[in-house]
Amino acid sequence: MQIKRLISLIIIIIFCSISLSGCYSAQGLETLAYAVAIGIDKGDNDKLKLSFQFAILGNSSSSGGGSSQSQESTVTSVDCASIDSGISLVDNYISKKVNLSHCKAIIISEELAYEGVSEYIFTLVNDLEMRPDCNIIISRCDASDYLENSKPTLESVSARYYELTLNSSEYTGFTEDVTLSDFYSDMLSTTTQPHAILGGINTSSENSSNNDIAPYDLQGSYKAGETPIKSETVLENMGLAVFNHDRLVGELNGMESLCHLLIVNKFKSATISIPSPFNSEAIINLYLTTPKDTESSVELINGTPYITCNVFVTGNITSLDENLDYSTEENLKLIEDYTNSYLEQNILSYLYKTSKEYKCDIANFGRHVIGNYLTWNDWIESDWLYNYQNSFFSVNVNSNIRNR
Amino acid sequence: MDSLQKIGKFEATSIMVMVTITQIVLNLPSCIIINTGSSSWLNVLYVSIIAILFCLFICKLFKPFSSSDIVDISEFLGGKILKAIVGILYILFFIFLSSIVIRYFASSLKLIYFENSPLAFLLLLFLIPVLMVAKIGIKAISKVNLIITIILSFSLLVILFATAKNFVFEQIYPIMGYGVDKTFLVGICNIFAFSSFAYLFFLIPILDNPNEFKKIAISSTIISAIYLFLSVICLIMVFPFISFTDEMLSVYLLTRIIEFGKFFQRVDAIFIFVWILSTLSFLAFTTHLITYIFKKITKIKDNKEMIYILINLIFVLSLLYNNIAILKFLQNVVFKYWTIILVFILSLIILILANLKLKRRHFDAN
Repeated sequence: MQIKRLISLIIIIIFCSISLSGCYSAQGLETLAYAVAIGIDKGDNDKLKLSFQFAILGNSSSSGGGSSQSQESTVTSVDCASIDSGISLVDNYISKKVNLSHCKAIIISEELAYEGVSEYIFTLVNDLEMRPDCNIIISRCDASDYLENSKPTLESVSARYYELTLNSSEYTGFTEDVTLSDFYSDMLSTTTQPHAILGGINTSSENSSNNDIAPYDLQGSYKAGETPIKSETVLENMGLAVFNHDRLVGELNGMESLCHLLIVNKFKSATISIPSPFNSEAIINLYLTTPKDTESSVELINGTPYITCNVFVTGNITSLDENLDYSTEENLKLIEDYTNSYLEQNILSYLYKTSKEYKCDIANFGRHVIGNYLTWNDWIESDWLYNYQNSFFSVNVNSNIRNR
Repeated sequence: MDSLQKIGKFEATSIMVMVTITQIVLNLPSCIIINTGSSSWLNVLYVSIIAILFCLFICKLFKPFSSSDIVDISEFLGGKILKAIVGILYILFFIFLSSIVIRYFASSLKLIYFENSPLAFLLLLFLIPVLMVAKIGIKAISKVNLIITIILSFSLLVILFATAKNFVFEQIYPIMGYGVDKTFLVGICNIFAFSSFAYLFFLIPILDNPNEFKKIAISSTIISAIYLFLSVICLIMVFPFISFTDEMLSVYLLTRIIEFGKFFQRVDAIFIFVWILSTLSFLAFTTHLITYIFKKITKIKDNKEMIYILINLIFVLSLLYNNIAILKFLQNVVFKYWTIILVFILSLIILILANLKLKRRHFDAN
C-alpha cells in the first residue's frame, strides 16, 4: 500500500514539475514587442503599408510602480501584401514577436478605406490577441503619419493616451467610441451599416475659423484636423466616417456626430451653442444631457420608410448675460423653443445626409423594421439597406431647459 | 458502480446539468443557431417542451423497472444479445462523445493560450487526471462534480448577465428564422442538445433513492433547457453575425466582451479555468460510466484496469481527427444523428417494448 502511495506521489511530482514549470514555449516580456496601435495604408511598393506603434518598456522599479511603459514609443512601417505577412516581416526585423494584446487603436487611412476594409477587419477580428474593444479610426491623413504624430502631452503612456483620448466623446459628443467588434458586427449586419471614428492631424497654422458659418454652428462644424487650435498635440479625433458595407462613403462633422449619438442613445453629455432668442448676434451655451432614451419608430408607407424620432434632452444654461434674466419662465420657454428648433434642424440634416447623400443607415433603424418580417428570406428580399435611401424623417425634440 | 457507491439526488441532478453545460460551452448553441437562425430561441423552447414530455414518458416507462438501467432492460427484452448490442452502442457513443469533447476543448485551448504546445501534451493534461480520478469511484466524482457544477452554472449566469448591456432585442427577428419548416420540422433534430438523456438511462441503479428518479430527471431537464435557452438567446441578441459565421467557441466570444468598468477587462481566462474543471469532471464521469457498462456486459470482476485501455482509446481517437472542420462535422452531423437514433429512438423503442413484455407477462401470470 505504502509503495503504491510512494509511486503515485513520485508520478504526481514528476507530472507537476514538467507541466507547471512554465519553461516550455515560454515567452517573456523581453521576447515580445507590444503594439499599442496599428496603422494600415495603401503601400508604396506593395499592396499595404503596415505601421506599428510600439511601446518602449521602461524600468518599472525606477518609476515607482504603475505602468512599466516609458513615455517613448516608436513607429515601424513595412510594405507588405497582407497584415500577417507584415507582422512576420516586422518580427524578423526587430527580432521580437509582435504582440497585439495591448493594441488600443487600429488606424486605417481614408485612401484605403474608400477601396474597402473588410479583408483587414476580418483578419484582425480573427486574431485572438486583438481585443474586441480596440478602437477603429479612419485617418484623413496617412495612417503612418497619424501614428508618427502621436505625441501625448498630458499623458505619459501612449496606450493610455489612446484609451483616454477616445473617451472624450462621453463629454463632448463630437465622435463615438467605435470598437472593432462594433464595426465588425455592423459590417455583417442586415439592419445597419458600419461607421468609425474620424481622425486626423491638426496643423493649426493652416486652419482658421470659417466666417461663412454662423457662430453657434461653428463649434460643431469641424471635422478631424480642422479645429483652429494651437497645441503640441497634433492628433485630433472629431466626427465619424460613414461606411457602406466595407467602403468609406463620407464623413460626419462634430455636430452631426452629436446628433448621431442622440439618435442611437449613446449620448452622455455635451456643451452646445444655440442662437440667442434675445440677440441675433449672441449665442447661448447649453450643457446637454438626456433624461431618457430617444424613441424611434419606422413605418413603411407603400414600401417607403417614414422614420419618426422623439428626442428628449435636458439643458443647463452655462452662459450668462448681465442684461438678461434666464430664470424667468417666459425666457426659459423661449430658449426651449429655440433649442428644440435648433436640434431638430441639425438632426434632420444629419438624417437626410446619411439617407440621401451617403445612402447608409448607420443609426440602425433597420432593427425597427425587421420585426415586420416573418422569415429571413422575406427580410433579405426587402433589402432594407438599399431602401433606406428612400426614407423620410420626422424629428421632435423635447427639451427641458434650466438655469443652473 | 458497485453496490456501495450510490449518489444523492443533488449529485445526480448536477451530473445531468454539467453534461449539458459542458456542451453549451463547447459550441452547442452555435450548432443550433446555424440551423435555425434568428428563430433558434423559439426552436429551443419547442425542443425543450418536447424534451420535458420525453422525460416524463421515460420516467413512466422506467417505473416498472425500479432499479434497472437501459442495459438491464435490454437484457429483459432481448436477452444477452440485445444487452451486448445496446451496451456496445452506448460504450461507443460515450467514447466518441468524450473524444470529441476533449479534442474540441484542447484545440480551442491551443488556439487561445497554448499556440506552441503540442496537442498531445494538452490532451494528456486532461486525460492523466481523469485516469487517476476515474478509479476512485462514482461517489467522489459526483461530489466534486456537484461543487464544479455550481461554479460552472454560476459562471455561465455571470456571462449571460454581464453581456446584457450588449443585447439588441430586435435581433431575435425575423421570428421564424429560415422558415416555419426549418424551425419546427427540421428543427426537431435539435433535440440532440439534450444528449444528457443518455446519462439519465444509467442513473437509476446508482441512486440512493431510485424513487427520486422522476424528480431528478425533470429538474435536470428543466435546468438544462433554461441554460440552453439563455445561452442561445444571449448569443443571438449580442452577435448579429452568429447565424451565418461558424464560430468555434461561441460562448467564449461572449466572455471576450465582458468588462466590469475599466478595471476588470479580459476576464475570459477565469471562465476558461472553470471550463477546464468542468471538462475534467465530464470526462471523469463519462469514463467511469463506460467502464460500468463494460463490466455489466462482460461480467468481469474488476473493471478498474479497463480505465487504462479506455483512456488510451480516447487519447488516440481524439488525435485521429485531422482538423477542426472534421471535428465540427462529427459534432454537428455524426454526433447529432447518433444521439437522436440511439438515445431518442432506439432506447425509447426498447423501453416501450420492455414495458409491453412486462405487461404481457403479468397478464399471462394472472
